[in-house]
Amino acid sequence: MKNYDHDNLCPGGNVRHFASQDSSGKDEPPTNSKSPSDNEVDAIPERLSPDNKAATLPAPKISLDLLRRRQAQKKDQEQVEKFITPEIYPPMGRRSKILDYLERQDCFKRRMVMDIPEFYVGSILAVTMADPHANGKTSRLVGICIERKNYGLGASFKLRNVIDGQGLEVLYELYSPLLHKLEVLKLEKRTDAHLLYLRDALPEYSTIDPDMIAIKHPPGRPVPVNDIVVKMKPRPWHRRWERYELKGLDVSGVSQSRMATVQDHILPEYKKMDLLMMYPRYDITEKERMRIEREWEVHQNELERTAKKGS
Amino acid sequence: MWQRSVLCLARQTTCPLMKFSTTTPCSAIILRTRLRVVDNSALGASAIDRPPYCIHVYNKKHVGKLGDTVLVAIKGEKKKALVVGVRRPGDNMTPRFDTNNIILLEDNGNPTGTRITVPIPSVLRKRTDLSKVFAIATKFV
Repeated sequence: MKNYDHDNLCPGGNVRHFASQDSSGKDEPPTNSKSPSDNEVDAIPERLSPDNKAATLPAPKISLDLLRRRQAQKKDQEQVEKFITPEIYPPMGRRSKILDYLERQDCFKRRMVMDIPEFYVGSILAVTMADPHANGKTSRLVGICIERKNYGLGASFKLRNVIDGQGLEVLYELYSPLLHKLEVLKLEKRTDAHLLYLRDALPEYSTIDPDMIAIKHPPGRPVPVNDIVVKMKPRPWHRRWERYELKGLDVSGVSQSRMATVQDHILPEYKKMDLLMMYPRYDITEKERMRIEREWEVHQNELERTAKKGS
Repeated sequence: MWQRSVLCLARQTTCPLMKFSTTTPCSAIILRTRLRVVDNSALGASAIDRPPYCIHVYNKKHVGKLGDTVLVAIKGEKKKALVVGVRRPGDNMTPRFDTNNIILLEDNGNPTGTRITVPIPSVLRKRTDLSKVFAIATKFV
């Protein structure tokens, strides 16, 4: 996130522009007429040349592969969007703005006390919760996040896991004072908005080792999207999942007669594109959205300041 | 109630001709709901081919919740059982299981088996009268 800001603000913005101009020639595969060493010489000044310092600097020997990888990394970093937690945007409808504001402030207050990291549907989390009956007075559950819901202090997420062959899921309230710790063991996204269909999928897709070691996500890199397609158990299912336009779901086992009815339940393309249909959905005005983003930024700055004080 | 149980019966009938379902999967423990025995008792293990089903719920609502006692029909016998996991979602922060789990009880209220093979919810531990059940449990969630 920091890198992203930095890129935007610093004069290095020119670098990006410069690179994009020349990228057309660079992306072409090396032709036979040019030797690899020629390519190297061409490529290096490109990377270092915003101030035309390449002439004075001794040309370092970097292989073409490494250079390309680095450029790809840089491109990725530019594409990283700033994360804003989804539950601070109020849902549609007529709402009291002052009440929403106060609720957001309460959320931020809780975030000052407990570290609530960035996570998405499909990420693997570990939740430590107060449990008066447990030995250490806390219980820990590892699972895959299958749903995120609700606004403000009522925000919640569902974790699912298969323990000893028994599938189970727990709905946690994100801002509950009973939560002690929230760890992200694997930061990942999926192609769907929710993974409730994992209930009807084969158990291996929701089985997670409770002693899993956290895989660290390098800061500033985009969150990887897992485009796995899960295989389902035979019917009956909880819902007719083939009707929900889900991408991470293998519907090849569904009978032809069932698939024939799917089209009746999917919104036609012209209705999806209809601006008038869209209108009530975008209830937050641009002004309101900007205000919420500013509040989030202030909160982030405050978090950083307290972290510095602590260290 | 009657309608619901009949519908549930229709869904759960193992008749090979009846391949359609009449309701969405009913997750509540009511009359004729089929259950899963999760202890290591011999009677529970022998009833895999024909799962036990609920014939009475010992509470006033007649819908089995976590920690309720039910009467089940298993292998032509009537047995009391304790519900240790439900499919129907309960309170927030408590687990919801994929199956309706029971452990068989003797007439005096002691568990028949000597081990529970799946995790059981931690909220059940506030019940003081079930200490013999917690003694044979392996995991809590």
